[in-house]
This record gives sequence, C-alpha cells and structure tokens, in this order.
Amino acid sequence: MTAVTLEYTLKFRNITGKDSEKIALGDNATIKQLLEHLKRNYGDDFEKEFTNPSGDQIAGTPLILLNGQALKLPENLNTHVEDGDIITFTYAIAGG
Amino acid sequence: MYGYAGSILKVNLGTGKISKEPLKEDLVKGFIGGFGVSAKILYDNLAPMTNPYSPENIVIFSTGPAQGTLIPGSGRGLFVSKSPLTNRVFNSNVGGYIAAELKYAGYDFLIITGKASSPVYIAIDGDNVEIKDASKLWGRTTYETQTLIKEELGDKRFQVACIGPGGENLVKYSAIIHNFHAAGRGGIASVLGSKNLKAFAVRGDKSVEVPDMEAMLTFYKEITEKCTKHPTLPGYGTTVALGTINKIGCLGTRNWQTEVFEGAANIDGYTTIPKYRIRDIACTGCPMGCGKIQEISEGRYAGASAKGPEYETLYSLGSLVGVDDFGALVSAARLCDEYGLDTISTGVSIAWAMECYEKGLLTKEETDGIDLKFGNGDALNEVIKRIAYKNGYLGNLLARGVKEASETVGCGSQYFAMHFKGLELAGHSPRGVKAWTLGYSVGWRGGSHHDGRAHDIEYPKPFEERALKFEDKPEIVYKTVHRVMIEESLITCRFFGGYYGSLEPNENHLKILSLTTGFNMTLEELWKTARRIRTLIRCLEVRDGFSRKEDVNAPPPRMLNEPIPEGPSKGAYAKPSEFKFMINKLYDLMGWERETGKPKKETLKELGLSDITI
Repeated sequence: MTAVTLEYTLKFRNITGKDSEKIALGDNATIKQLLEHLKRNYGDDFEKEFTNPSGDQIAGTPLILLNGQALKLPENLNTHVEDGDIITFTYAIAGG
Repeated sequence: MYGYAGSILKVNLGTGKISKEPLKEDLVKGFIGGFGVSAKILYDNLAPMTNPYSPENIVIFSTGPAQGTLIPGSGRGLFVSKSPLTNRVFNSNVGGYIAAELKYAGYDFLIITGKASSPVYIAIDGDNVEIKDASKLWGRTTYETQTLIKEELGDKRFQVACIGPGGENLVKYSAIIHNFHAAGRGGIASVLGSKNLKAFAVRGDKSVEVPDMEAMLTFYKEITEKCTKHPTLPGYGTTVALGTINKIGCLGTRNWQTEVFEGAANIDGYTTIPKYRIRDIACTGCPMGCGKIQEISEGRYAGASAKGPEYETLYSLGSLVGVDDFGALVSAARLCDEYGLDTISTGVSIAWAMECYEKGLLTKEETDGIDLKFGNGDALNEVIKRIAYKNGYLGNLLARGVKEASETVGCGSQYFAMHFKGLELAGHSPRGVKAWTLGYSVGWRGGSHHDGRAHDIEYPKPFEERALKFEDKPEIVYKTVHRVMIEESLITCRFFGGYYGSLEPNENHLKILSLTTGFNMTLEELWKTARRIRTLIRCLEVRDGFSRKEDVNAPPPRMLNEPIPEGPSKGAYAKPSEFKFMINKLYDLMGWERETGKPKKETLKELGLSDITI
C-alpha cells in the first residue's frame, strides 16, 4: 500500500469539506488512479475543476502539486505516487 | 474620437500656467494611450539625462481608451515620469476611481511640470482647474489628506491622489496614494514632493463615448459572467498566491537567503481572509472586486487594518523580513499606505538591513538601537516610521533605496542588495522562474514584476520547464513584454489576463480597442504598435545612458551565484552562460543590436521611428 497526504485549498476544500486527509492507495498507484479515487469519493464536481476546453494552463486554473512540483496534465497522469508523498490541489496563482 | 476625452491638461507649477490641448488622432493611432502615448510625450519633451528631482522632470497621469468605459478591468490609471530610484523612465499603475474621473472631467492626460514655490495641490472640477495652497496639508498622512481636500472642496465625489510624508521627505521609493490604492513603485511620489505638489483632486460629469454601446454591454456581460466565477480573485484577492508560491519553493524569504518560508501559513490569505476580512473593494466598474480589507481582531496589533495586504506586501513585509505575525504585517502595511511608501521597496530595503545586522555589517548603534533581526515585527514597524521621516542614521540610509544604501555600507553588502537596475525586487523568483531572470534584467524598470510578466504562464509549469529550461524563455518574454505594452496603453488590469490573454497581444486586445475607439487594427498592426512602444521606451533608456551593460549587470549577484538552497525548487538559478544566451536571443527578437543593446536602424525604420537618433 502507498500512504499519501492530500491537501485541499479554496474550492477543493469546499468540494471535499476538509483541508487535508491521508489515504492509502495500491502499490504503484498513479495520479490518474488517485483522481479516479477522488471522483468516486467527491463526485463530478472534483473532476469538473480539471476540465478546461482550451487545454491551456492559465492563471486561475487548477493545479496539482506533487511534493511542491507542478504536474502537467494530461502528460503526467501516469506519474507514480510514492509512500509519504504530499499532493496538493490548488490553483495557479493570479495577480501579485 | 470615441474612447478618448480628447484633451490633454497641462499644469506648470513653476509659472502657474494651466493650458489645454486637443489629443491628436495620429498620436493615439500610433501609440494607443496610457504608457504608449506618455512615452512619446516624454521622448518629445523631456531632455536626456534630466535629474528626476529637477523642475524640468515631467509627471504624467495618464489614461487609455478603456478608462471610463464598461470594459471590465479598466479601473486603472498610470503615472509616468523619470524615477529617482532608477534614473529611468518609469510607469506606476494605480487602481481605484481617479483615472475614470479624469476622463469624466474631460482629460486623457494630466501633464505636470515645474516646481511650485510652496506646497500646493491641483483641483480639477471639469473645465475649472486651479492651483491651490496646500501648506496646511503638508506633513499630513495620505488618508488625512484625501479627507481634508474633499472637505475643503466641499464635495466627496472628488477623487484625490496624494503623497504622504514619504514623498514630501523625498524617500526614493515613496508611493502616491489614491483611496486605498497605491501607485507604489519607482518613487514618483517623491518627484511630486520635489515639485511641492501634495495632491491633485478630480471631479467631472462628462461621458466617454463608445461606438457601439450594445456591443460594449454584451462584452461586459460575457466577461462578468466568467470573471465573477474566478476561483481565487473575487474571494481572496491576491492573498492566496503566497501559499501556492511557497508550496513550489519560490517565495523570497529572509532576503532571498532561501525560498521556503516556514511561517507562510500564518500570513497566507487562505488562513487570514476567513478570520480578518471585513469588506471588499473594487476599482471603477470592476465586477471582480479583488480588494480585501482585513482588520486584526486580537493581540497587540488589534485594530490594525489595511487593504489586502496584497501578495506583494505579504512577501515584502512578511516572508522577506521573516515576519509571520500577521498583526505586525498588517500594521506595517498600513503605515506604508499612510506615510506613502512602496511596500515592496520598503520591505526589500529592511530585509537587506536585517541581513547586514545579523552579519555584523550594521551595528546596533547604526540601527539606532533597534534589534533588527529577521522576524522582529515590532522593529519592522518602527523602521518604517524612521524611513518615512528619514530619522536617524538607519532612516536616512534606507530612504535612499537598497542600491544606494548597499553602496554606502559596502563590505560586500551589495552582493545581497536585492534590486535590478536600482528597483527593489518584487516577489517573483528570478531563480525559480527562469524567465524572470531575463524579464527583470531587460525590463525598462528592473525589479518590477510587470515588465516581463511571464509568471502568469510559467508558474503552472513543471519544475523542469519553469526553472531549468532556458532556451524557450526569450520567446516567452518577447511575447509577454509586448502584451504588457498593450495592457499599459489600453490600460487594463493584469488580473484580467485569464480572460484577455496571459501571453501575447491577441484578438481580445483588438476587440477592446475596437469597442472603445472604433479603430479596426489587424493583429499584425497591434503587434507592430506594441513593438513601437517598447522600442521607443528602449530609446528613452539608451538616451539616458543605459543599454546592454546595465541589462547584463542587472541581476543581484546572489541570484546568479547561489542556487535555491532547499525545497521543491532546490538547485534552480540562471547560470551565466544561460543568462547570456537568453539576453542575446531576446535582443535578436526585439531587433536590437547584440553588442550594444540599442535598437537597430532597420527596426526603428520598420516601426515608424526613423526620426529617432540614438
């Protein structure tokens, strides 16, 4: 099993109702499998956040950070998560 | 002309002469408005090498075709002058209501020259313009000043832009304050101070005509529908950027000795907004309303309140000085606003002094008894007061800006004086976002996060693409810098980049131009206009003695010698060979000479600037 910490900010916190949680995934689990797990638990609202018709990542678009490293979707969907990883669901910064 | 008030207001404070000129169509067709037109005015009227504090320096408050219309994100105006921090032409953008009000009063540009013999302010009530005595206002804070001027003029609808003690005392990074908003960067407030100009107040009741009101309303509704659903800005403003930037390991901390701040959660909007937000504010006609007023409700700083603090201030008066006491931070931000100081330059200057103090380069005697350690929020607040009034050795030293202060102290402290071209570094990492090493260095201002403005598209990228790859950065910066030229000339808010485009000049900008002015430019013509404006600004830089040498030497040595030491972006920095490649490539794209950094003759000719000799 692979134990990971999930952090939720902003709208992701609203959807999940929590700031963070620890979950266990199967061995060699991928980001894609993690997203499927979250869709099962939290419904379509979670998945919809990642639907961007243009495919561009622009300011204000959702962002997945794996230990602080931004993942590029869909290219990084098959990235494996490891025991102890921290995965943050947030948004690309806007302004500043 | 649609989209323009059609008139330029000129006030010479030395002679007292007030005059009005029509805005010429060929000028706006070539340079749009805002920064573009202001750059042309400065090129034609400001002598090379003019001392920023001489009466001959010119301050322009400018609007573009978007101001006073229903274009979402048009609640901005632009101060343009020569900066005492950088000795370069400088633009400083401000939100609020005053830009639209200037258009409603009948003017697109207010041009201020000369020096008054005693403190004055300018009252613009439509066609009636007066220079009025401000001797009773001199010494007042910015919030007091705005209230007192409205009382004196007997009409709360006047919009006021003013300086505080910082500008009066010629603090080189003093800010012009309007309402709760700041034209913070570059010290143009101190240029107004040098002219004995405390403020100007504007009121008007004219309209800005647009060619097709129905089309404008459709556009307004379409953008409003989208932007009010933005995931962060309407609810949190820019305050939550801090947490994300810290997460990816790019947050300037303790004078950029590291880029991970352990206290980030205490000052990030994600934590503070639910606790301390008391109201929202929006600029003219903005449906997004990203301004958040926060008020501290407990502890030693209970009662302290400030707008934001915005991301840049959370960085400069928070992580950069190691302060995670949110009350101390809010109090410090409020002091900067009341005294009229740029929060970024103030924080960067103090962070440098803190590193000097901890390294023994500044003694406790030289800090006038202040224990200037990183994380000391009380010291932060005390030093801000001393800077505004140039009190003591430390106040006088830091009021000159970090470049000059570090040259005064010497002893190697220039190595960690975090400025580009004399302008203190904004809160976007040149190491973690490689495009920024280039963007800041070839920027006309230096340490401004709006010159290259690549981070909107670079932050979401994976580490390898954002921080290690360098070959693609010149083209990205080439595109973003020209986008900024258009945004600063139409004058639209950067926070609408998600809707108008975050990369390059595009069809959305053409649409805004068409909706406001009726001009039907092609995309190729829009690009050419953007290039004309940037190249003209480059000519102003060259004329003042700046070119390749200053670009190459712009980065603070720490940024080219020390990789980020820890965190998710550990190891990132621009190697000298990469930096050189990026500059050369960007010059090629710009049509500037690699050897000198000057625009090529054929570039000037192509852009219709062949009458310029540099």
